[in-house]
Amino acid sequence: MCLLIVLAMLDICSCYNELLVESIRSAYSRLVEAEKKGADVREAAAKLNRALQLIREAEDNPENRSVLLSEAYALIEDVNLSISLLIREGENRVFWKNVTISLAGVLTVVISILAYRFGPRIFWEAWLRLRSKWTIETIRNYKNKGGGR
Amino acid sequence: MIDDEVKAVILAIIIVAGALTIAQLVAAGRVVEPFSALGLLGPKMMIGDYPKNVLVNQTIDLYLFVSNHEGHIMYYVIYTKLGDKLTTINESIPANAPTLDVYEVILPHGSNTTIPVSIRIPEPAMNARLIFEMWVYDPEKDELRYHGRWVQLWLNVTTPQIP
Repeated sequence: MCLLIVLAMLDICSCYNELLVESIRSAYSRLVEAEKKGADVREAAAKLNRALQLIREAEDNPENRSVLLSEAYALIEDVNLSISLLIREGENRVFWKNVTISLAGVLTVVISILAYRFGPRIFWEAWLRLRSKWTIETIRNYKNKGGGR
Repeated sequence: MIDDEVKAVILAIIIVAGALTIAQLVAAGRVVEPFSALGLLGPKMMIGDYPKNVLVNQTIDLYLFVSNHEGHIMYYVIYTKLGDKLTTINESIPANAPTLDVYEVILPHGSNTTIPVSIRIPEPAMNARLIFEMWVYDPEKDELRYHGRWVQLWLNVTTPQIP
C-alpha cells in the first residue's frame, strides 16, 4: 500500500516535470511570435534556458527537487508575464525602424533636389574660395621660361 | 556645360550613398544563410583529447557546443545515442539507436552555449559510436523535428580487468 502511494507521488512528480517542460515550450512558442513582431527575446530566452537547467538539476538532485522546480516555475511565469511588454517594445522598435528608412529615402530625394538646384553654385564658390590666394601669371613666351619642348 | 557635369556627379554620389544607406537599414538583422552548429569538445573543452578506450560505467566527460545562426530564437534538443558501425545516420535520417541522455537548450539568434556532458556506458562494446543528434522543437506543429546535424565519437568500451 505504502509503495503504491510512493509510486503515485513519484508519478505526480514526473508529471510536474513534464508540465514544466510543456510550459517552457508554450512560453517559447509565444516568444517566437513576439520575436516576429520585433521583440528582443534574449533575456527571456536566458530565463527559459535557466528553467530547463533547473528541471535537469531537479532530476539529478531529488533532495532539492521542490525548490529547484518552484524556481523554474517562477522563471517561466516571469517570461510569460513579460511577453506582452516585449511585443509592445518590439512593435515600437519596428515602427521607428520604418520611420528611419522612410526618412532616409525622403532625405536622399530632398538632398538630390537641393544638389541639383544649388550644387553647381556651391561647387564653384568652394572652388574659387580654395583658389582665392592663387596668383595668376600670364606666360608671354612659354619657350623662354624653360617649360617648352 | 560644365555645370551639367558637376550636377550629374553630385547627384550620382548622393543617390548611390542614399541607396546604400537605405539598403543597410532594410537588410539589418536579416540572415542570408541560416544555420545551426553542433560540435563535440573533449574533456578540456577543446577540439582534441577525445577518449577512445573507456571502461564499462566509466564517466565520460565531454562538452557539446551548440550555436544558433538561424535568424531567430531556437529550441534545441540534443539526443545522445549509442550506436555501432552498422547504425545509419545522415542529414535526413536520425540514428535508430538507444538514447542515453537528452539535453535541451534555448538559444536566441547569434548566441552559443557549451553544455557539459557526462555519460556512462553500461555494457562493453567494440567500435561503439556515441552519437549526438540535434533536434529542434517546432512550435507550429508542437513536435520535435530532426534538424539534420549530428556528431559522433568512436569508442571501445571494455570491462575492467580483475587482478
